Amino acid sequence: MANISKNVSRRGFVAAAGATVAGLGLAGCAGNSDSTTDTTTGSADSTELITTDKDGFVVRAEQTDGKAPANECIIALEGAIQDTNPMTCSDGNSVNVMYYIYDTLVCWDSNFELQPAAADSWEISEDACTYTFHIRDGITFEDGTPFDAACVVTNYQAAIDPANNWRRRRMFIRTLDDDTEEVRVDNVYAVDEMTVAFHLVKPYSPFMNSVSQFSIVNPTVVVQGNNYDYSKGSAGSGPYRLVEYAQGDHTSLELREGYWGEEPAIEKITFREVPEAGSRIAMLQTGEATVVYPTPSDQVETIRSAGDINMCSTPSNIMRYVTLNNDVEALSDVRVRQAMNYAIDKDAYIRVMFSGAATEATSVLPTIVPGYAKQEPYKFDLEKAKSLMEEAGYADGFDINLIGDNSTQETKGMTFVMQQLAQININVNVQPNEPATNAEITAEPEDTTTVQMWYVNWSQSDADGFLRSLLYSTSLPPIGYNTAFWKNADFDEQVDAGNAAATVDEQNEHYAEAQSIAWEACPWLFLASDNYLYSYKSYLSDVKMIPNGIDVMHSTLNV
Amino acid sequence: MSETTTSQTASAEALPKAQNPAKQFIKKFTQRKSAVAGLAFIIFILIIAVIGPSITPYNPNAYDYNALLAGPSPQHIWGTDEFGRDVFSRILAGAQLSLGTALTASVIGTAAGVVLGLIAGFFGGIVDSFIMRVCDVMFAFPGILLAIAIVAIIGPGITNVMIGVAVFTVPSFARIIRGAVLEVKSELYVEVAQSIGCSRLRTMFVHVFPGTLQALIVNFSMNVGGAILSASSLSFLGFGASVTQAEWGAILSQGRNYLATAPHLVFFPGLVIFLTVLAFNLFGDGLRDTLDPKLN
Repeated sequence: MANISKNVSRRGFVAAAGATVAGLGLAGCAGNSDSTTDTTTGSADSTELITTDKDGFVVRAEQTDGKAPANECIIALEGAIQDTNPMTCSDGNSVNVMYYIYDTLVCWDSNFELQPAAADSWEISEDACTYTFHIRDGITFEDGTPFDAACVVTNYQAAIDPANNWRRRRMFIRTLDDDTEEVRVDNVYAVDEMTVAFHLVKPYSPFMNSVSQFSIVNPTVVVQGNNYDYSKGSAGSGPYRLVEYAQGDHTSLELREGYWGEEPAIEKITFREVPEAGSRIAMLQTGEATVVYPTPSDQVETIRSAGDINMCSTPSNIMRYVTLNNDVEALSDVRVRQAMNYAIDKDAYIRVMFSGAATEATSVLPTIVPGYAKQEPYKFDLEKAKSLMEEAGYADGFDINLIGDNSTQETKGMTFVMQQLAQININVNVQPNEPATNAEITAEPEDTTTVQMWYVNWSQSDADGFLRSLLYSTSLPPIGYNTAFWKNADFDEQVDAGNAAATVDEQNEHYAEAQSIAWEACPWLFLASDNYLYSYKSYLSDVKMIPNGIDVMHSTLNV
Repeated sequence: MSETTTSQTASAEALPKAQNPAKQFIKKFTQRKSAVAGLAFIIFILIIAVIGPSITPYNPNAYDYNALLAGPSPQHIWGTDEFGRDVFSRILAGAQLSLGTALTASVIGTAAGVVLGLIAGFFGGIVDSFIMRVCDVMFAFPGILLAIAIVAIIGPGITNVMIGVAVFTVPSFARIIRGAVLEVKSELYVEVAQSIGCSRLRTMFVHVFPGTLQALIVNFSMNVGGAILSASSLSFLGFGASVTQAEWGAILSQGRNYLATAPHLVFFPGLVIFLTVLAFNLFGDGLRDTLDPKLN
């Protein structure tokens, strides 16, 4: 054996070794340069910038006569589907799965406008405290239980039950600074069999957003609390049912009989978790995946040459940022936090990370979220950054840890942040972790947390979902996601005033003020809001991106 | 007087020349061209590992956002990566880390394996059975899987990768050395050493151990190639070098995301790993062929 391999490889080896040595010789002539901020070398940049046509297509498939292998839509996702309980799930991918299984009273469309769902109409009282919803007739759960006003009341009671300790409880009950609770909704009652009303203690303008995220579960199941395992079987009134939940791998749904609305054409939907960007594209090329989200922005050429893949780019409600733990000594100084923001070249970030398919952050909210107010960007300015660091006494920088998910894109983003902050002598230690590990680390309360910086993103359809969840002083982990541990009374006051506002204009005024306070104080490194980049086989029609995720409810497969 | 001298010289010339084992070895070894090429490449790559970081054409961490994923060109002979970093410089600089990890792991694993093999072979009996059965258990795991398991338990990082790779090196060396010890132990000079009252430790290390050196050297040189591959694989899987470090496996791992658009990102680190492992294997093969009396 050894002899054979030796004979075969000798010639190849010598040739290859020769080639390598020749290569090394060439390099010797290239000269030595030690600068960390390299100047342009004139080499051709092989990544093209992403541009879209008027319909949001980056690439339009040329071959459109392909056939799907089965009436099954396989959606390859980057991240994990962490939860199948509609009362606790919080990550975008789980919310996407819930969208197919459960109904909400109202929902958002792709233009961020409220649409009727299980409720075909609703009214808000003049004092903005009573929300009344008229439920459609004829909605039933799988076992025949009707979806009526009593069912919504039962769901509400289960959601606020402290014994269940579900995340949805926070929609109705708020935790205050001193750990006491403030009730937001004091009564939910059936007006008649098909009409349900929510009574608020005081006006709370983002309430409709809460309702849009309140999935209604079969009342016979929801009363079982945590004794019911939602990963074994779903209990919704939506068009699909859960068939299999294999955590970390895939989640399969199938069409169920008896859905009240227009029956979707696709029989099976499978979500596959594929963290490797290259693998997702390969799956799309071979037909192993029907839809891929997100699509790596540097693969446009691959997709174009495939010929039978559509690629779309639409503005998103995703905000990418790095939380700066204000309890860390160096980060407690606002000058340091501002310096860090000045040290990041946002244009380069958008080019390196998204091939241009993103918008620079100009507030804590993405531009398309209602209530957004433009702030003056921290323009890339190393001189300013360095002088601010010097003023703060950190001219020599400091060491800091940065955590984030271990996917291709997130790791790349963290590396970018590391490179940029090195310019002002901040030595960033990049730690990519499993998403589940990060969820654990970031849920630690303030006195035990180890989070210093977290490269993360957030998407919500309303301003409150950003401002309160991420920056409000009582939204600290494990209750909320204020992992910057930033506390600002003026900001809180503006958010509260915005919540209590009677008109949208008044609400937005307060939200704008809150955004300006947060922008000035820099609890984050503000990065960018990237476009949704999704690709799908040309035999699938009409894929939409809605705030809940990928929508193929109205799509058809050419089988 | 002069006559006697001449005749003595003449008779000495008539006798077969005293054979210098080192010269003989070099002569035999140099006949094996592939092994010599392997050795030359090893020496070359070791020099690179030592001086690599100081001769890189670019700083291996210097980015250039205007030359992302550029293919090989006169400026960047092996192209640039997703941050516009020079791939050639990163591979040059990474030699130190990659080879350092593999060599350290091999040395640690070999040292532990040799000690265990000596003890097992020399003392025999229950000690021997115990050590060999433990080795058998470890042989039951595929090496790389065992290393992954170890790293998964003690956590990722370069040091832990060294430990992982070292651990799965131990049993094969223990077994090889034990075999060699059993052979050497029955030699007359060992019996003599024992009969003149050498202590057991002295007999084991001074008299038996040198007899196993041949097997040790051959297997060590073969093992390094495997260790480079294992350490790179672990870094490729994200267990080893940090994503920001220039390490061959890590470079390859990040490059695979651009396989379709920028294949040079995987081609060059892959080629370098391939050549290095090949060189160690060819060298080891040559050594074995030269040293093994059965093959001569």
